[in-house]
Amino acid sequence: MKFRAPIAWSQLSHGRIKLLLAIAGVLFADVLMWMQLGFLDAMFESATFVPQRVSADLVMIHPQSQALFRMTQFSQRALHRVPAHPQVESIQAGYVGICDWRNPWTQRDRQIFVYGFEPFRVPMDVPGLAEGWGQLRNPDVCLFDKKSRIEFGDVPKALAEGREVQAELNRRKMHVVGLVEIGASFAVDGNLMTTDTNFLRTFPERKSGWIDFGLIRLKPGADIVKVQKELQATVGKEVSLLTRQEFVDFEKAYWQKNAPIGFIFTMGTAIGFLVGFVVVYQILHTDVANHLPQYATLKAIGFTDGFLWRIVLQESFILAILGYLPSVLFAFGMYKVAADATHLPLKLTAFRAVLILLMTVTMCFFSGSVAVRKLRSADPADVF
Amino acid sequence: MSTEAIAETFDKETTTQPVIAASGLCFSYGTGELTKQILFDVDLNIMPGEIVLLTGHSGSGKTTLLTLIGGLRTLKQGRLEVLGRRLDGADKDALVQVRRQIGFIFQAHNLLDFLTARANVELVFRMHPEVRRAEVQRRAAEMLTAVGLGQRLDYYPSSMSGGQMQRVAIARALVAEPKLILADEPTAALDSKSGRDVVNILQRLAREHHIPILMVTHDDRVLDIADRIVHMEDGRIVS
Ligand SMILES: Nc1ncnc2c1ncn2[C@@H]1O[C@H](COP(=O)(O)OP(=O)(O)O)[C@@H](O)[C@H]1O
Ligand SMILES: [Mg+2]
Repeated sequence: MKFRAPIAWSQLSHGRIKLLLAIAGVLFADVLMWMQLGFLDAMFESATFVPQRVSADLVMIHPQSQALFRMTQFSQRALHRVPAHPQVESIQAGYVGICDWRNPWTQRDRQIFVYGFEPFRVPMDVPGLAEGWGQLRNPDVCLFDKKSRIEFGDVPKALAEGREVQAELNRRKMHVVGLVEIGASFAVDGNLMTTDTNFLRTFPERKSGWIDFGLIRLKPGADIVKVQKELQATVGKEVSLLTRQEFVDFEKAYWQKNAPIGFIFTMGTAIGFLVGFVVVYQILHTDVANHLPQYATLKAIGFTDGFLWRIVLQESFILAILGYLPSVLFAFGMYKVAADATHLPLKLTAFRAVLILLMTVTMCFFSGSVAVRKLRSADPADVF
Repeated sequence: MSTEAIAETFDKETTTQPVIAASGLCFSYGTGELTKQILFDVDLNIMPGEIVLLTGHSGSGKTTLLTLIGGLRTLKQGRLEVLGRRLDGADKDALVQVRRQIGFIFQAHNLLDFLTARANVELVFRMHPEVRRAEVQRRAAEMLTAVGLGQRLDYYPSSMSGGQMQRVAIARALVAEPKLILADEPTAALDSKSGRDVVNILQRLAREHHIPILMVTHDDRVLDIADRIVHMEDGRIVS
C-alpha cells in the first residue's frame, strides 16, 4: 500500500503557520546560499575573464607578481630571448596599470584599469577588441569596456548616438574610439584597452621596456609543456612561464589565498546552511515533541521505530523541496538585480542549482536526523 | 483422525486454551536501593471470548499488570503466555509481534491530530501491507460506522467530543481484528453517558467477533458487562 508520503505531508501541513515558517527558513537559507555562491563564482569568473582569453600559449610574468592588478615589472629583454626557439611564432609585450579616469559628464575621478599591448596583433579574444584594435594606432585613443561600472559615465550610449567621447585619463586627454566587453571584477570597476605607446604616454612614470607580462604564441602543433620547459631553461629564474591554464590558476589562487573575500562568501554559505538547519530542526523537533504521546501510542500498537523515523525524515525532505523551489525564482530575480547593479557575471548555472539542491536536502536531512532522536523518549510503556 | 478427535483438538484450541496465562508474576520498578515491588505472585487466566474487568485502588498495580500482558514492558520474574507466545524472556521483536495482535484502548485516545478519523483508523494497516487499499478503506469505514461514527469519517479529532474520539480509538483498536483487547480505564475521561456508550460498543463488538477483553476500570456503573471481575489490592489479586 502506498500512501506513506501523505502522513508526513498531513503532519507538516496541519499547522499552516508552522509549515510556512519552516519553508521560509529553508528559503532564507537557500537564498543566502544562492547569493554567496553566486558572488563567489562571479568573483572567480570576473577575475579570470582576461587570463582565460589572452591569445597566447604561454605567458611570461615576474615570479613575484601576485595578480593581474598586482604585477611586478620585468625587463622585456627576457621576452626577446624567446623567439630564438624554433617553435615560437610570435611574442607580444603587455603593460597594465591603474589610474584615474575623469567622468566627462560629472568630472568625478574614479580608478580604471588600463591594458597596453604592442599593436601588431590583437592580444586577447574579448568581444569588440578585434574590430576596434586597428583604430588604436593614433595617439591618445582607447577602447572602453562597456561593462565598466556606470560611474565612469555612459560611454556606450554617447558613442551609439555618434557623439565624440573624450575623457581625462591621468590628467591627459583620451579619446574613446570603440567598445570592448570585459566586465568589472572585485579588483577593478572598469577597463580600457590601448597600445603600449598610448599606455606609456598615460603613465609617464612607467619605463618603456619594463613590462608586466609577455604573450608568447607557439607554432601550430607545438608541444606547449615541452616548449615551456625549454624556454624556462633559456630565460632563467628571473621570469616565470605559465601556460594559459596556469595563468588562470595564478589569478584564482590570489583570490583564494590572499583575499578574504573567498572566505567571507564561504562563511556566508555556511551560515545559510546553519540557519536553515536550526529552523528546520526547531520545527521538526517541536513537532515530534508535541506528538510524543501519539508516537508512543503508535509504538505501543506495534509500529516500529523505523516507521516513525521515516515520517520525520520525509517531512524534512518535503521541507527541503518546498523551500528550494521558490529559492530558484528568487535567485533569478536577485541575480538580475545584482548583475545590473554591479556588472558582475552572476549566472544561474545548472551546476549551482544542483549543488544548492543537494545542500538543502542534506541540511534538512541533518535537521530531521537530529529531531528524530527525540522519538526515543516516546516510551510505549508510558502510554497506559 | 476421528471426528471426535478433531472436535476435541478444536475444542482445546478454541475454548480451553487461555488467551492469557500468567502465573507467579512479580514486578518491581527501579533498581538497587530504590527498588519498589509492585506485583506479587500474580496468577491470572483469561479464556477466549471472556470479558474480564480488573478493579482495585489507584496504585494497586493494575496498569503495570496490563503493560506486562501487552508486551509493553519486559518481565523479569514469573511465567506469562499471551496468545500462545511466551513473553517472559521474549526479545523486543517478539514483543512487537504480540502487540500487533492486540487491540489497545488507552485512557487518552492519543489520536493523531493531523489525520481524520478515517485516516487514523486506516493507519493501522500500515503494519499489514498485504491488505489492499480498497479493502483498507472499506474496513475502516465499516468499523467507524460500527462505533456510530459513520457520519464523521472525515472529521479531525479536534472537532469531535471526547466520547467520539474514544470511539475512534476503539475502531482503531478493533479494525485489524485483534485477538485480544486490553483497555485501561477507557471511560475515565468521559461523562457517564458517553462512558456507558463506549463500554456498550466495546462489549457488543467483542461479543460479535468473539474477542476477549481485559479492561481496567474504576467505574462501578459498567461492571455489569463483565463475565468476571478480578480485584487487585497492593499488587496481589484477591478475587
Ligand atoms: N514507570 C514507573 N516507575 C516507577 N514507579 C511506577 C511507574 N509506574 C507506576 N509506578 C508505581 O507503581 C505503582 C502501581 O502503579 P500502577 O500500576 O499505575 O497502578 P494502578 O494502575 O493500579 O493505579 C504505583 O505506586 C506507582 O507509583
Ligand atoms: Mg492505572
